[in-house]
Amino acid sequence: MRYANPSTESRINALKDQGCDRILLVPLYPHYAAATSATACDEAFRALMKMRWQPAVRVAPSYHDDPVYIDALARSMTASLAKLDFEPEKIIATFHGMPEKYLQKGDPYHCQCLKTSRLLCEKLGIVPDRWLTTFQSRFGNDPWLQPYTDATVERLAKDGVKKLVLIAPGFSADCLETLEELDVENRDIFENNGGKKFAYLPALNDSPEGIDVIEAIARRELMGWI
Amino acid sequence: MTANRAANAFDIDRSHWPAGHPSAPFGRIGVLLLNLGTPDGTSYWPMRRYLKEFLSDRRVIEEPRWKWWPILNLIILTVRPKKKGHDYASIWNTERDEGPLKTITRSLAEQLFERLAGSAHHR
Repeated sequence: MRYANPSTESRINALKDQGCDRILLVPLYPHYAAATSATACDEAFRALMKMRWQPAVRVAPSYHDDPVYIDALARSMTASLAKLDFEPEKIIATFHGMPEKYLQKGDPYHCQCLKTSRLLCEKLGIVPDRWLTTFQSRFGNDPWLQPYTDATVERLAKDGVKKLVLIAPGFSADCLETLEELDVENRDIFENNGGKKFAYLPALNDSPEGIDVIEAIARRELMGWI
Repeated sequence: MTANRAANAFDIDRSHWPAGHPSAPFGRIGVLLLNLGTPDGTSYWPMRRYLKEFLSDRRVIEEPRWKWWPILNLIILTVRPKKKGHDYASIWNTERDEGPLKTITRSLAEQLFERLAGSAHHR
């Protein structure tokens, strides 16, 4: 874990103590961002800086447009949609936001999110009119990537949309930003503005589809080592 | 997660090593899944520690230190630990006393090991 426990350093040291002289790092972020993937790797490299005998290290790249990932999302979503007692009028793919100026500084995050969203919509064969891409979790007063998720949910409800589904393909595991912010806060926003049916579909998590993705990445990136 | 590169990676002949040679295990491959993290608890101090670590990361907040330090320490870290702790408490895995992100990520690692079993040994 980049923050709190178990720390990246403690785990790298544990691998080294067990005789690992080659280590593959897999950031569990489908989309590259300096604030997530890069800082996770920085932390791993800081641990290596203290080692006498450093292991050789590989880093798995972002997998935002990997067919394995898009396919897993589509399968997971199809199964979750089939369990609902309603057909959504609109589907929002929401991604964690970041200050707009990070994009201008050259972070590929925004472009990668939009690509995932487009590929997923195409894979599911959903008409683009029903599909929106938004950014959530804004913090502070600076402009962040837009459109904002909460403002979009409110607008849709006020425009008369009654049945809404949210998905968050950028989160490999559900956490506060999905379970609370999306499933509780945004549900409230939707229902308080006239919406009737709302569902947040779970992340890939530790489902077979989620493991398919990480396994495919690990096997590919380990080539030449195993 | 670790894998042996050679079946006998731990079966090294050490008889020719000089006396006092440090233990230096080698020959295995590790896979490390990296994720964001989650506070150690939902009460004020664990939340404050977590938020301070997260929001002190210059990769996350790119504001100059002189500008960010007072905002973080005087405003955010006095107000947000309580609010965020309350939010975290609503989703907390009380059985294991940890955030769901940790539960899910651990399970992912364990199941990945199962998939790679044969070429991998989980530690």
